[in-house]
Amino acid sequence: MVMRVVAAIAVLVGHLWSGQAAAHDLPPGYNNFGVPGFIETPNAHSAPDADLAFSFSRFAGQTRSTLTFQASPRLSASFRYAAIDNVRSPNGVVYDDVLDRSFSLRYRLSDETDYLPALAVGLDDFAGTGIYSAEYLVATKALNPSLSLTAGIGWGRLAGVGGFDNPLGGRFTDRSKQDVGQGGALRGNNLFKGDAAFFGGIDWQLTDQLGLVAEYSSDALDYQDSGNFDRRSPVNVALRYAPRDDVQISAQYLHGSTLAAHFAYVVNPATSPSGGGYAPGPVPVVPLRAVAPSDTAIAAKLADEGLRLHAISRHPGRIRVEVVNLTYRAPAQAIGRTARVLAAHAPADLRYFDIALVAQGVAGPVMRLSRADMTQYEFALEGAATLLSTTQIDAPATRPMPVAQPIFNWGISPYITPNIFDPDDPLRADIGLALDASWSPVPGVVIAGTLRQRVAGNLDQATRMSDSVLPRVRSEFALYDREGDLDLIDLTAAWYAQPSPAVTTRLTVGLLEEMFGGVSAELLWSPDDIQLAFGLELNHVWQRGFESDLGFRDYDVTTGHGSIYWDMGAGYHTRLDAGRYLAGDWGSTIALSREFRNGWSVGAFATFTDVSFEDFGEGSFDKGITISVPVSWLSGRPSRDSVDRTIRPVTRDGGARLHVEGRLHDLTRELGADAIRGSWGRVWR
Amino acid sequence: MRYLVVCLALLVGCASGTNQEVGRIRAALTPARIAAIDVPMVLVEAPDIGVAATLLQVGRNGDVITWQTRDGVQLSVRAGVIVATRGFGHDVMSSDTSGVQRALASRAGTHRRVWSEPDGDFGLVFRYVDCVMGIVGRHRNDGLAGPPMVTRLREVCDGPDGTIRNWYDVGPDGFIWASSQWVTPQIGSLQVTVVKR
Repeated sequence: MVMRVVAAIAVLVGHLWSGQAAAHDLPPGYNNFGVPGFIETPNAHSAPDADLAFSFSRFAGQTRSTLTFQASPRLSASFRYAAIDNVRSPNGVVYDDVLDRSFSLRYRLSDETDYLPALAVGLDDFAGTGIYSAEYLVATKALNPSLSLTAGIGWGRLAGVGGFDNPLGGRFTDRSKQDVGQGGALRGNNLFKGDAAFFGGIDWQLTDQLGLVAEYSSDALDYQDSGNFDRRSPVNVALRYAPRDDVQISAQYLHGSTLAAHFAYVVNPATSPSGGGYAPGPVPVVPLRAVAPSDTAIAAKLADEGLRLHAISRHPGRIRVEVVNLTYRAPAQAIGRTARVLAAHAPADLRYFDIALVAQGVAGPVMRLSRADMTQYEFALEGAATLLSTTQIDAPATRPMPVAQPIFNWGISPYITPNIFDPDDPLRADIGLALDASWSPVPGVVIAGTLRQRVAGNLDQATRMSDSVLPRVRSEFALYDREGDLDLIDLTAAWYAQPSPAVTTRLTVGLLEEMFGGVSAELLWSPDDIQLAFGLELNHVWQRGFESDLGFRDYDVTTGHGSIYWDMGAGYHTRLDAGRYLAGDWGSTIALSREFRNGWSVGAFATFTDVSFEDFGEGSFDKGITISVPVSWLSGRPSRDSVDRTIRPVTRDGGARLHVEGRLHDLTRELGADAIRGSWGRVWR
Repeated sequence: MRYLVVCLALLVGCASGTNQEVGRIRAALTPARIAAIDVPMVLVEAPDIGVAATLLQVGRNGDVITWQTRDGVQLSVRAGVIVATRGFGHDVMSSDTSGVQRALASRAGTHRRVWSEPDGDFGLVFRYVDCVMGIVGRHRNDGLAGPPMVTRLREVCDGPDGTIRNWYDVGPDGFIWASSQWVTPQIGSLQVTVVKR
């Protein structure tokens, strides 16, 4: 059974990845809901693979902000945050200022051909309050490179005008009235139910930058037209202007009565604005001048390259070094630069360079590069591939060689802590300065801490109190923001070990995160020959005081998870955690992500525990999206830092997991052979 | 240290490679200043992105010389033909220049240029263009060093991204004293002029 499920998922992943971009020259265009489409209705086009679109629209008291990710050539997923004035509920009550979060999914079933249109199916707002709830099947065909036609059939919101009996018949005839409950729960029982209606549109690209769009919208806007505007016509028109490939602006006339504006900005994580980046060139393999080849001189040359020499030993014919990669996102670049320093400055009788990357005393595989191959292939057309084919890759050393000296690092950097979904003020943030320091007296032992001084912000103005019936392990976050300007975010001692090449362990004690302190133990098994890794983590933690000092509150819990990490290929990753969460609830988390070699990652997660939707409160269960943006991608300068954000529609107490720095899967992955091979295109960079 | 001495000798500072007005360094490289330079040096100008810098040799692997600006931007050149760049961002990672070198030696003929560029996600993209080499004619050497007269060769390449036009000013011994070589769409052409051989 398990094999069958795995096979089915593998086939699905294959299909997700197999799609080609639709055979048309038109830009996909994003509609006011932030998904590929015309104005208010969707079309069947897909954005280019991996496009990440930030879309904003405003009309008649509605502001919609949408983040849409083209997760595969066929599948896109959207998260939307809408502020709507005067929402009329099905029972006639009108609500002011509704802040609504919703998700959308769409899948391109078939590609456009010379004769057949592209076909896509979509689900809107299937897990929120349902204000924008709709399903559709839509077809788009380009008649020529600048003209395309779209026709579709919609249910739910898209069946408000010109509706007819559901052609699916039977149990699809009736769509139940909105019962939002706590919101957030999946409402699969309504999908494709109730009346249906047709919609369609035409997209005429006048010039490379200017397009004219007209649509027939079957959306009656039942919920949104109370007092904001008169819906007089189902026809909408728009003028779309794309001054650059990544920007789309449109001016619209909607429903025969109101003006609207839409803006979309697109980034593609798979492409880099700086190409290969602006890092200074590497040390030539054969330099004009070499230094005297002492260990100290080699360490200094490595330091010039942003690498720290962790250990060095000389053997007949070869030299072995372990280095800490402080600088490069691509591990292969760190290995390449290390090898260049050795080729340039180590004595000529050392013909082989054994190089391993080390982090927190945990070592990656030993890469043996030959000086002769490096000299021969430095400028060869396929020099990177050829060098990989001649590089011997050995299992990690389980007993790293002694470190030369204790390591102390510290730094001060600005920080920003946004909180974007407070119903009272959807855009709150604090800014300030963070002091990070770490001390590693011996390999594998790290004592580290973070102190933050708030400088400005309004997080302390949040007055909304938790109404949670569970232990308030996360929902009182506002109290942590409010109390104290100088916060000790974490202060830990950690011990990392590698008892065998495939097994790593971690033991961390101290103030683990802003809200919890205690002890955390983890074991990770990453077999070399399969794309799975298995983790086990056990923690006992006490809730910290709101002042973020050394004090604790009267709540402690034993929490922990078993985890399976699956590298599905093509950059797709799945993580499954099962265990006990901070509020004492038992359950599991599934997290899907698409990760790019350059460090970008976009993902989503959901946690279901034995806490009922009602006890969980607003949102029904914990879920969210994660985005990680590498600083090197933004700046073009080498850096291992990233901007990481987890966006939760609501922060509640059910399904809450402890945060611990240095979790082993992240730590070991960037040292591993897969990461080195995956970034080998940068070995000569 | 030697680099600093050279820079001081030029009195123009050695360009950092950014926001440097193209032409200013060339104007500052007067015959008297060039005469004072005692190490090989090239001037590289990128008119499409508006930067220019002088570069000194930092490496020599076989017949490939690597030149570098003060801030680490590199140009690796085999017998006057660019084989790799680093630090421009949209760099040439590697290339096969055997065809163009044969064409330069025979001063005519057709050949294929193949090179790789970073793809933004730590991979490489390989590209190629098909080219024709021919002689434009002999003219007065208006470079910064070399014989009074040079032969200009022109290389015209057609590829999927459009037409590329390169030129090479070659001395009687086949040495390239100045050239304009297209690199990548984002950098455009690099004009490489020998200051000191």
